[in-house]
Amino acid sequence: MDKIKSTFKRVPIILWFIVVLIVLFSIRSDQYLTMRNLLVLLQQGSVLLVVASASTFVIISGGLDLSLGGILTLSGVTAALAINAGLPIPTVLITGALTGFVCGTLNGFLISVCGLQPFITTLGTQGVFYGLALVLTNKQGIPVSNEAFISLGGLINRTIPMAAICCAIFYLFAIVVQDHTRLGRYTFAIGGNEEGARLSGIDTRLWKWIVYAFAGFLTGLAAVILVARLEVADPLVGTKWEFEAIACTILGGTSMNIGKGDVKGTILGVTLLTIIRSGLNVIRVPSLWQSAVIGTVIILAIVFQVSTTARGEKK
Amino acid sequence: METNYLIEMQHITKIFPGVKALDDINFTLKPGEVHVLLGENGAGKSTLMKVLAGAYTPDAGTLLAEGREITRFDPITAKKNGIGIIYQEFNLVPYLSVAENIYIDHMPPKMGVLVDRKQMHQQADKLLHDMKMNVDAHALASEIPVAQQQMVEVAKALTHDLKVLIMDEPTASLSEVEIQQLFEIVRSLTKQGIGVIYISHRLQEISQIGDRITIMRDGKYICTKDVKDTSPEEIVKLMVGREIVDLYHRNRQKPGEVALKVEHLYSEKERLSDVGMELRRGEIVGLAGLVGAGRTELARAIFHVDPYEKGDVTLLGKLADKKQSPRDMIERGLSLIPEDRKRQGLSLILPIAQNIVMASLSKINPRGWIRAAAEKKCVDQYIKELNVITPSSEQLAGNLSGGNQQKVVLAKWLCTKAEVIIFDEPTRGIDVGAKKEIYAFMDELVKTGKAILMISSELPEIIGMSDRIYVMRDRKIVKELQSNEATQEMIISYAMEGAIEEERQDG
Repeated sequence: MDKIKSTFKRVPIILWFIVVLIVLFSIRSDQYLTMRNLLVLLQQGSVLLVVASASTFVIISGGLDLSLGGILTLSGVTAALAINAGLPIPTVLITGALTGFVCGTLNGFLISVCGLQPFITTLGTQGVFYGLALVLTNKQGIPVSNEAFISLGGLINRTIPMAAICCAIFYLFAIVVQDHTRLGRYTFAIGGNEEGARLSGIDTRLWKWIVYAFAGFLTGLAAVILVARLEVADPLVGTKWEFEAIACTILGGTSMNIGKGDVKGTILGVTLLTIIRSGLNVIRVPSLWQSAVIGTVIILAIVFQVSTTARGEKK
Repeated sequence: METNYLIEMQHITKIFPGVKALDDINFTLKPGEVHVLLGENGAGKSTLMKVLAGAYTPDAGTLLAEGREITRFDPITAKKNGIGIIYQEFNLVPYLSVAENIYIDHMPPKMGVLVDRKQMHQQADKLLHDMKMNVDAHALASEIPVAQQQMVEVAKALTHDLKVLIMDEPTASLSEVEIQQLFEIVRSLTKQGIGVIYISHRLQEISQIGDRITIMRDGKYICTKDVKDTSPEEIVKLMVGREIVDLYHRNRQKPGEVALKVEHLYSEKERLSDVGMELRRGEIVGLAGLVGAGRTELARAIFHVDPYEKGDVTLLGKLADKKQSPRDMIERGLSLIPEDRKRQGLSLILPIAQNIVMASLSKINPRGWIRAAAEKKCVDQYIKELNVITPSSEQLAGNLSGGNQQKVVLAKWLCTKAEVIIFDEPTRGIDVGAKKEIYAFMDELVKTGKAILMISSELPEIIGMSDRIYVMRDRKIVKELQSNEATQEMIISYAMEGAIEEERQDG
């Protein structure tokens, strides 16, 4: 109960941002607050939510993963190859997840066993993952046409947002892992006080490794849904996703380097980002300007977020 | 008013939350003298010197430098007044050269904005040469031995118009030859009229280098004497004259089987040499010694946090492998309650409940799945048993008082069902009430057959709580005492170099 309360105490400022933006957009356009548009938003935001959750885990543990976009791309490519090879859908899902898991395991190995800096390590592996995706696709997107598979990411009967439903399941899975497993606890323990965690008998090296592997795994799952939604595995699809995932994580109230945060908060960050992006189209902000506007709003939101949490902590 | 003092500190008081670190201290320094400042760990020596060096602002009292009252307390003002300090922990920048370190705050300028590196190195070379030091000014600070780093710190202080030099345990890491070298430098400084304040635990050095001596105890001023009018016995007596208050609650019993045995332990990294000790069930064994004697390092080696190369650690009859990890030791029934609860014992931003179960998650939740009910039972039990005062177990550990935080750390380790518990400074910085509760709890633990090794710098605590006492000095165990025969004087003289012989103590 206290936990829910403290979560809510920490987030109102970003909720206000979301509310204000929705009101603003729906005043400017009667197309905005329609069922159809909301379904589109859900479909768009849901994959990002899963990737951002992966990022949240890594950041709470005191790390950083810049390779999530690369993992997303590469896992999408292997999943597309699998479905086009005629493999059954569960196997395709496993293929994507396993690809992500392997990528994450590599990150974790380099960071926790070899002791490299997360920033530079994942910057490097990002290049490797994109490169492999380019090689596997020969620079061309791989289209997928299996009906059953595509329905995983589509709007069934124009009303059931399958991508959102699948991703919601993955997101709930991430929440359960955070709140109800040792992995979740150890993520906080390591991020908050790594030496203290080690002295408590936690194998910090192993668990840091697992955190990266888990982040890769989640991203791999998200990749499968993304391919199903786009009906193509594009070798550059993941560009900038890692940064958006990090932005959403921070917007959601997770802090870097102090082991504080919550996967549950991350959904707010994703909501904000998705709403801005779609809203800018609705109110016809020229596409050349959109990126700058989005960046500004994110920074504003974070400034408010940080200043309010700082005040809250002093009390 | 006399103005022939370099420094006059009058009625200096400094209060930290919950502690009076300095209580009405008087201290003077004459030109050209070496004034030794002596006291046990936590007596307030370093705090007093930090006031002088401008790191702390006193809450009351006046500080005069050459007769002028100082009202601003910051390191830059102190430096302007000619006060230089060499802290125990060095402040050299590891990847800058010796010369750059020496002139770190006033590098000779070239064309306004650039640094005249050539001149800087020449100046540094000359300075080091004058000090009769064989250090290459171009070498990186991280490349030269510790003793030379110390000398570089001295050189750094000398580049300012120095009137007062404070040295906080400068010889702790030096060899005999280097100590003599350092003394030479100190003597040449005093000849120039510079006053030196010298903090040291080595009694024999005091007669070698000191002119006057001031003794502090528990943040209070005890006395100032001329070194030639006093003796090591008298000094030790003045240092430890603390009362043993009736805080300690022990039901002593006959010890059981050996629970922990350490034999011939050597560690290169921690410089432990040939440490041997044993601990029996039902026993509290005190581990006494000064800061830096190697007590914490020994505990960490036993717990397998830090490596050791040679020697055997036997826990509950089973020989531990050198390659084992803290996790293995916890599984076998060992706990280490670290001295720095904020940095090592707790995660301040997590709730109490999560802190308590942190070390035993795999015991409570064997399948990796968190069983909330089992956790809650464990958490509630220890909050109640230890009387942790908090509105809820979801309160963040950072919001608790020191005593309650320490109880949470205790609960965390009791949760692991440890049989052998190492306490490192179990009551540091907590109030008397909580202290008493923790003592009673420790007694309760050994009554049920557990074994406790207690590291403590508080001699009354060591004597009051222990059945036996090991005294460490210079990374070795130098003496084992029965607590009923031990006195504070005995312990402190074994812990300090130049110990007084046993017979004289007994008499």
